[in-house]
Amino acid sequence: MKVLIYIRQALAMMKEDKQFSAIYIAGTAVAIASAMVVALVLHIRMGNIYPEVNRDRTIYVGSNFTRSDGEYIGYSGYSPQAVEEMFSKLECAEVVSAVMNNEYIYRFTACKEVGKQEVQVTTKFTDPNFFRLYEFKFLEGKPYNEENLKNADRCVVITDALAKKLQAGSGLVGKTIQLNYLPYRVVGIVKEVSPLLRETSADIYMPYTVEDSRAHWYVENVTYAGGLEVRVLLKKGYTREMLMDELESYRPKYLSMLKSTTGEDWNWYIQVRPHWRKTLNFFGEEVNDASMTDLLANLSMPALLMLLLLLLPAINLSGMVSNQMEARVAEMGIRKAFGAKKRVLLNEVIQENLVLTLCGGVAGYLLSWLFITAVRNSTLFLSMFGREYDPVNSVSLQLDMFFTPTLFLIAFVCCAVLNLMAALIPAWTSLKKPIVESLNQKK
Amino acid sequence: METIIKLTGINKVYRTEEIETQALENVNIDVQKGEFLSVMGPSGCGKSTLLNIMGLLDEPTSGEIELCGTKIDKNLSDERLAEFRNRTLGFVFQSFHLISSLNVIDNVQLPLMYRGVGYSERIKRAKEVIERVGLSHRMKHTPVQLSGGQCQRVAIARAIIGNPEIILADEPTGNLDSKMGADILGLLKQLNEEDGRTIVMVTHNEQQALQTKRIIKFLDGRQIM
Repeated sequence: MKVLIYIRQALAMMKEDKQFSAIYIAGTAVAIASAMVVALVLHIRMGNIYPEVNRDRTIYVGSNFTRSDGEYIGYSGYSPQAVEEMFSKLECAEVVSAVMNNEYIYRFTACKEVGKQEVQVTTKFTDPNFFRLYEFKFLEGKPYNEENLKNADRCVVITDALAKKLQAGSGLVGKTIQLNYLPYRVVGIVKEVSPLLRETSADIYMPYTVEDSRAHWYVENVTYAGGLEVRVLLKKGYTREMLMDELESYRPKYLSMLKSTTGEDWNWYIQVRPHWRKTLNFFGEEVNDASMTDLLANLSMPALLMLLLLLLPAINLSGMVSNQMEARVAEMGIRKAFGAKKRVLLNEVIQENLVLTLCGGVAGYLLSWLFITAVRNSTLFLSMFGREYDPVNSVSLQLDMFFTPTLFLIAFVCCAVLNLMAALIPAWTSLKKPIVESLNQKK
Repeated sequence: METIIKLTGINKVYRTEEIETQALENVNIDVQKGEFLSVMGPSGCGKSTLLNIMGLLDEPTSGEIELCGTKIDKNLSDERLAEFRNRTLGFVFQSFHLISSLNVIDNVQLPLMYRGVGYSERIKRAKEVIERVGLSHRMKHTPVQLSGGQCQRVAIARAIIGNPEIILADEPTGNLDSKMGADILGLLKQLNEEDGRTIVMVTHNEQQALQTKRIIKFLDGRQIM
């Protein structure tokens, strides 16, 4: 209930000194907004966002191979055969999905019928498990199935945004659309995914066996190699290390196959990356180093940037608080006369100031949202997500990119840190004055 | 009789780079429990300094202070002094010293808040003392919405809410007209007579001083009577 008194007093002080409050809140808002932009970018890259709501359990598996002399040859994904042999019986996997590697994404032209308005679309070639691993919201229809995959059926799942662009309205499921002037049957319509989510966003999803896919590309007759990236949703309680151990058992077979087909010895490097490792690598370590220490070390960089972004405004705000504390010296004297201890008063001042800082924090949070909304189509912003400027399609944003408990917590921590940096020293300096001197000080 | 305030050989010297001012010189005072003592003297004679030292708001340059049987050690920490002030002393100042951003009830409950008393108990006791000083109808008002006399009543309520043994009043009627002044003095007398609280009051007003149980006079930092 003491907190209520602090809040009441803070509000009364805001009314009393409107100019100070307005400037303080505005300064705080700008500081929090700049720090929150960093947090938001990080959240969009790493947080659980529709449909990638299990990013914390999602592992991306690729592979590299080098000659025995260490010469780097290149990156390869897996062939459908490798996916079947290596991944279909994994103990630690809840769902395994094979997706044609992102690097091979290319554009299609779509229209409802030949001769109607055409739109450029992005495509993803996947298996049906893709829609289990990622929690897509089906507005109509359902995903294609294993049978469709096996038969390389020309069937697609499209987004609601594309359906709208094609002016198809509802009832498109079961009908055909034209992709590069070939008919494809629509089996489902899903809620659109923001293009900032590189692993899942596309306008159209279709089986990777469809002949336009390059999933079957292979490397020097090595049937294990192909264009597929494997994504594993770990069962709860299982770790990435357990997955690595399971995959290791396939190494001898794969290496002997490489040797028999090429006559050379090879090193095979299995890339097992958690989602965060795909988006965060400030130190350029080995990709298979993805320990908690490594994560914290990588997170320390944006955290440091956020701290710097808070520090400079904090110095200015500290000057303002210092002036305000001068005006409150007598009040501090009164409180001390009636038994307030310095540390209690310090706590009070910081909590009262926190009310102001939180007001600025809310404004800053909204400001960061507005800022990102305003710059979402810019080249610089898109480059942070491995995307390029698209002159035709505007980048869509989802609310769960901005308003989550984690982001609220980060915003609160930013406010608390800023508040401490701004109020601690002026408050402490003011409280050091002798009581009599404080009581005699005129407001 | 029990001595509740004992000052022995108190000296207070204010030093700046250029001058040295002796505010109090070898002051020895005993105040008995339940006494209502007036301290009189011209401006600058050291009355307020004496009250500040009695109230542990200021430190003497030399000398000993004993309050309620406890010798106040110079090495006592700020925290312990704060606690002692909170439990033993109540202050009433000439300029009221109410916190302008708090309403009446929040101003009054301040000493209990720093004592760690729970919210409902604080509110209950604050309402009781506010009622006692006759301001029940002004609980939610802020100091700027009150008259001088009402402000001083709030200050008295704040001084007594913690049930301190000693009330130190520094010219409590100095900023009030004669009617309001008489009113406030009546309230202090009531606290002394009915509750048996010890009151030390600094005043310029001889008429008011005469209504208290004992008067001491100061001149140039020395007790002359």
